[in-house]
Amino acid sequence: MLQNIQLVIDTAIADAYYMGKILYPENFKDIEPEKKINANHIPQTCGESENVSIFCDRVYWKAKTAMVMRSIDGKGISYSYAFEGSIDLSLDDVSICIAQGEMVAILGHNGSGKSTLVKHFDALLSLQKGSLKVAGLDANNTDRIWELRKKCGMVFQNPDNQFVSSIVDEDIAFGLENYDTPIEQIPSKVSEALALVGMSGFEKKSPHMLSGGQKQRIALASVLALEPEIIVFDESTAMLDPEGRKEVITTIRRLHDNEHKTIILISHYMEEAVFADRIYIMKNGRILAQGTPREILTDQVLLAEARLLPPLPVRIYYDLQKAGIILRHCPLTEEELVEELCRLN
Amino acid sequence: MPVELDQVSYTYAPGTVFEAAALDRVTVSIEDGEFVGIMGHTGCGKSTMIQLIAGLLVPSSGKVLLDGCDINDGGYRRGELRKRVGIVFQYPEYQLFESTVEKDVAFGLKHLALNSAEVRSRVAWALETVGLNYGEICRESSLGLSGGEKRKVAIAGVLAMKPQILILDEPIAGLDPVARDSFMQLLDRLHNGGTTIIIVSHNADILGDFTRRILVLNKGSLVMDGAVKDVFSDVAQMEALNLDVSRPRKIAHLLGQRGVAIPQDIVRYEELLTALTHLKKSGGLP
Ligand SMILES: Nc1ncnc2c1ncn2[C@@H]1O[C@H](COP(=O)(O)OP(=O)(O)OP(=O)(O)O)[C@@H](O)[C@H]1O
Ligand SMILES: Nc1ncnc2c1ncn2[C@@H]1O[C@H](COP(=O)(O)OP(=O)(O)O)[C@@H](O)[C@H]1O
Ligand SMILES: [Mg+2]
Ligand SMILES: [Mg+2]
Repeated sequence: MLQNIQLVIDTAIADAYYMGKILYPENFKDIEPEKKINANHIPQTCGESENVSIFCDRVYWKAKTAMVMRSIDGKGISYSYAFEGSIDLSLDDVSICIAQGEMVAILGHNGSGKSTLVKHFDALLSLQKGSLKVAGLDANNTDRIWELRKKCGMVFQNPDNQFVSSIVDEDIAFGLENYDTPIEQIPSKVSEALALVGMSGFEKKSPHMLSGGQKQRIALASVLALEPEIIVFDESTAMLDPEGRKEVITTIRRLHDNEHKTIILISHYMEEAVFADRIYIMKNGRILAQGTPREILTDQVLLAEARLLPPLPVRIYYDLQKAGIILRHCPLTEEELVEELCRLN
Repeated sequence: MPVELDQVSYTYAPGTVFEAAALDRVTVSIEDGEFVGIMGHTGCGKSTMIQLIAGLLVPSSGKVLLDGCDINDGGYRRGELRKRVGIVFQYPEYQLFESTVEKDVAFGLKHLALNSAEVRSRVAWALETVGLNYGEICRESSLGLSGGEKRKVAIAGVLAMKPQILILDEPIAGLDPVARDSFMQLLDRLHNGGTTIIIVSHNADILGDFTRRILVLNKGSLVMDGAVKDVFSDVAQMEALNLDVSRPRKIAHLLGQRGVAIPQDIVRYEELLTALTHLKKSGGLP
């Protein structure tokens, strides 16, 4: 059996699974590879790997979240802007758990509570009810608020109001000075941060002269310079043109893949959530569902309940199905859709 | 009342170190009742162009004409312009500053000599139109809303004026997918009722679904102006300008490259779906 699993799950995931199972058996009791994966499920061609890959994804994050290193660990968080105990809750008993190095997308209708939730992560809002640990720090502990903010950086929507200085390197240095970085370390930290976002050489430019995508990457560099464990992007691509959007998304993915940052991405563009490890769906201040992109984004009923729309390839898949045309797998991206269409027979 | 730009150029802060030429000899005419999209990458001059149309900036050279009259002429009645041309800015939430949502939406109506019942019904209509519940939200503070909700309130404030020409700068950024769609349906209804609509957006799907004509700006010049189908026909050129075509168009393009005989003038979702079903029936898909 072990052999079969390793045929389809790469070694790292399998290791994580077994370690997780030994350490945290209760988290793994609903996952039984021995039952779900047998010789029939082993993909003959890559096209048949879908069930297996959904399964692997699930094992993977279960293992990861089980394995202690949690960047975000929130339980029973409720919040009201009006006053404590009000019935008008912007967050209503939200529990969320994000493993270190995970990339999680949060989707939800306008006013569903996404920004309210993530504002708890860097203590822009203080906890009214429930418990929250961010990078191991208790969000309730006001003595360590600056330490927490250093661990958890945020990039917002509007590229034009995130700057304090009219020179790029000063802007990044400003944040470092605020956190008492020894003065001699500042220049090297600034240039490292700029390199990470692909903006080396822009040190002496004015942020106002840059394109939207470049501005957002500078805002991101200011956050990165503090070497955070977690970076939250609250609709950071909403105002950008296609090029800027691509620049920012590519940068985010690189930080996830290479720098192993924990990424939390809020977006109204379902396509941007496709590349996340996991998706949370919010509705009216509650978590409605969570799962892999494939599980969540192909679930029409769930998305309708959340007042969201599936990505275009998923819509096409179901609409073609209605017209009697069956694609073998539900595609998530345009490229996958084109592949599926070309493979029809 | 048609809008005409005649050889309009605009330079910010001329003669200073911050001098920036934003628009370069743009000539274009938009007829009554048109639904026009404006595309172009950041900094190409879209916001500058619509502020010129709304009379908020004065051209460095050239003329902006409304109904044949130069709006920057000394004798032009500016009050008329304010009543007839409504503009929703790129960050409309910065237009909010009153203590309640109701007052914010009613703000522009002060100048229209309406009685209080009329004001209330316009405010209610505008809020319901953008998908907010008047009764629930009117007494709330605008500042205590989510990003998307603020944007809706700001848009309602402009709609309440019932302008004949409605100009919107990136209005759907920050709206959730359903709100985005119902907002565009709303613009479509206003358009069917005779309102001229000019919308700046990076969202090619939305422009493809709703507008009839697209203007493309590049570095301050008007480089394309035509029916949506025509503007989206040259995928390579749009890519060179760093712009998207609608996704149905892109998928048709990708299929075409794979040798599938699918029409290359597909712009909208329904067109793609019909073409795919048709292809399958006629054996055109492999
Ligand atoms: N500063 C505030 N004061 C009072 N109520 C607020 C405040 N900010 C948000 N709210 C309310 O809390 C709820 C959740 O808002 P939040 O900003 O978290 O939503 P969101 O999911 O980020 O929405 P969007 O997609 O529009 O950005 C909404 O009902 C909103 O009206
Ligand atoms: N207030 C301003 N002062 C100086 N330059 C400006 C100002 N607003 C815009 N610009 C410049 O004018 C050009 C066009 O900007 P804008 O019309 O805002 O473009 P778009 O809306 O297409 O992104 C850009 O080069 C921009 O930097
Ligand atoms: Mg928000
Ligand atoms: Mg603009």
